[in-house]
Amino acid sequence: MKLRIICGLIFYCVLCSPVQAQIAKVKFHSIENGGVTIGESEANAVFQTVNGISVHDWFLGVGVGVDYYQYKTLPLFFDARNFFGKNHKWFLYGNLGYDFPLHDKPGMEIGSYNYYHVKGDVYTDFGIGIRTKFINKTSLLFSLGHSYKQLQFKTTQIIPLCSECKPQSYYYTLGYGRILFKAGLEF
Amino acid sequence: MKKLLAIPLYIIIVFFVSFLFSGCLKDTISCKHPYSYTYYKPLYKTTAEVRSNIKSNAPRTIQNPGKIFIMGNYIFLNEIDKGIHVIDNSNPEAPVNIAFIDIPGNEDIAVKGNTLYADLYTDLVTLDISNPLNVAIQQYNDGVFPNRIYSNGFYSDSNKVLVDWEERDTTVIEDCSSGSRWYDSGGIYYSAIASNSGPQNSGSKNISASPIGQGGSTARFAIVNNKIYTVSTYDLNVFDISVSDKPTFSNTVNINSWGIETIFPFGNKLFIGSQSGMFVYNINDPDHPALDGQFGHVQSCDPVIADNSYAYVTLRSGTACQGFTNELDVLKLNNFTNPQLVKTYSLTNPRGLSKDGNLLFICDGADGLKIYNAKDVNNLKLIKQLPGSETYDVIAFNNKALVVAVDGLYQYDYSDANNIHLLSKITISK
Repeated sequence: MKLRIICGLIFYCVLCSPVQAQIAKVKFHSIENGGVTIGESEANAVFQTVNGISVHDWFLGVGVGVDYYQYKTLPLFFDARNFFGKNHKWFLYGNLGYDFPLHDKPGMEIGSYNYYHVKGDVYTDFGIGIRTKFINKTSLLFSLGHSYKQLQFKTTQIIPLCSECKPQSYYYTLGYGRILFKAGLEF
Repeated sequence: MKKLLAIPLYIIIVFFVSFLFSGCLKDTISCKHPYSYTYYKPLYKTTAEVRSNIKSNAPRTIQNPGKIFIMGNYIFLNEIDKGIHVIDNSNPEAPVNIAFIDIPGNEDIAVKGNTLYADLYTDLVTLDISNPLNVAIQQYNDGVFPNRIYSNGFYSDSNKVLVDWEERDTTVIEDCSSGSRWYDSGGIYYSAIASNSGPQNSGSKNISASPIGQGGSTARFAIVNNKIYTVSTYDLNVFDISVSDKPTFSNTVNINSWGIETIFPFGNKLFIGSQSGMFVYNINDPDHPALDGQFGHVQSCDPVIADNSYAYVTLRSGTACQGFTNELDVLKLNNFTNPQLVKTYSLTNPRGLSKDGNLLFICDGADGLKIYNAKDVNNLKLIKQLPGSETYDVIAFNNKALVVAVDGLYQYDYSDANNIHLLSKITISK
């Protein structure tokens, strides 16, 4: 449900854009971000690189990063952002993608009788930011948004010395909603 | 002006949507635990339905055999809690399973002449088996075995009869987020009800060549002349069968012991095996058995047989039997008043046993059937071992040994002790 709402929001933004009616001037851009996530449990670092094209006051790209909040993950996502205001100084952005766990260790863990396996899940980030000129064609970006990442965690318990006992599996869904403050450079 | 107003509007929308749909700033954890299990749902019939079906029905495959009884050319083999297989054994080399008598809750059988006595949970059923293909109910004695509980301690609706268990596999997804675990039985019996409690009995040599059939060392019913003696876990019941098709309850004797398992008649004696010892009762007054002597032993399962001079007691360990003893105890009867241990022989996991002349047959669990020359009880000599199948019970009679094993019903010819050989096998379907 959450995914549908987010997708709908992004598509709504795209479809309603005046860019449709204009002759576009396409430019390649790269955005390098570093930031901090602040959630219920802790504050931790985030690093991202987003590469894509800008068309009029829109930017569409693909990003990848490292998210250290609670469980280290590698988010891979689509990025869409709309610049507005005077000199296109402000922007709204939305990221939607998949979160790959970086610490999955399928196999025996926790003594000799438990196994665990972590799978990725949805990653979202959307918020508002401001862009200012820095050097030449480089701009500084600052943004504040809300990010959510989800992981699937499976543990399997094996009962020792019981050949007839079936392994018991437990499936956990871990969800982390955080405020995400990012600072970066746009080339 | 419009643009200036638009900026805070965007900010408000973004944060409103963000916080509304993304669970704000929370770390959440949810847990699902899918698990599968098998449970057994009791199936009931009314008493009338059950009684209308006690007849010679079509033969069924043998699946969970219990006690055996031989009468003439017929073998009556109990299917635990289901009924009785009727096997035509006119030709021991090719026995034929000819009928099945549905008797829910049946575990014990005794036959005299053309009359078969069987338990139906708490009731005693009397059947005319003069035509095994068309048995006829003669009488019910209701509630004469009040201590007989349903399988694995499961009590059912008192107005109905438990006839079977339906096996069901199910998968449940449990919410383990809060740490709750495992299941609630909800009045349904789980798991191990299908375990084989083990067929029983071995052959006893009746005094007379009689119209009384041959039961075994682990039987709980025994017929002597005009009486049926039955044991519950702690008492001995006497029924009068002077009118064979109309048994009447006569008397109950408290044995002052728990864990009574077997009854074996020999002459005017009853040998009663319990998990803690063997008791010898005389039936000089058939309605009032009186204790003559007893022999105590360690906690274990305890089938017993006897001849004029000695009793042979197998002690077995196991989940239900407890203990760690697996042996054969030979007891000198000393006029039955003071049985004394003569010698102990170590065995693997002995169950039923039988004796014919000098030949002693012992079902020794996974070691199969062992046949000893028991002429000298101080020096039993193993003549032959028939391994290959886990044996439970044996009746040795008239040069034929009928053996119930985990995989089938075997018959051996032992007319030549040096050439004991297989006559036939009826396979058990598991």
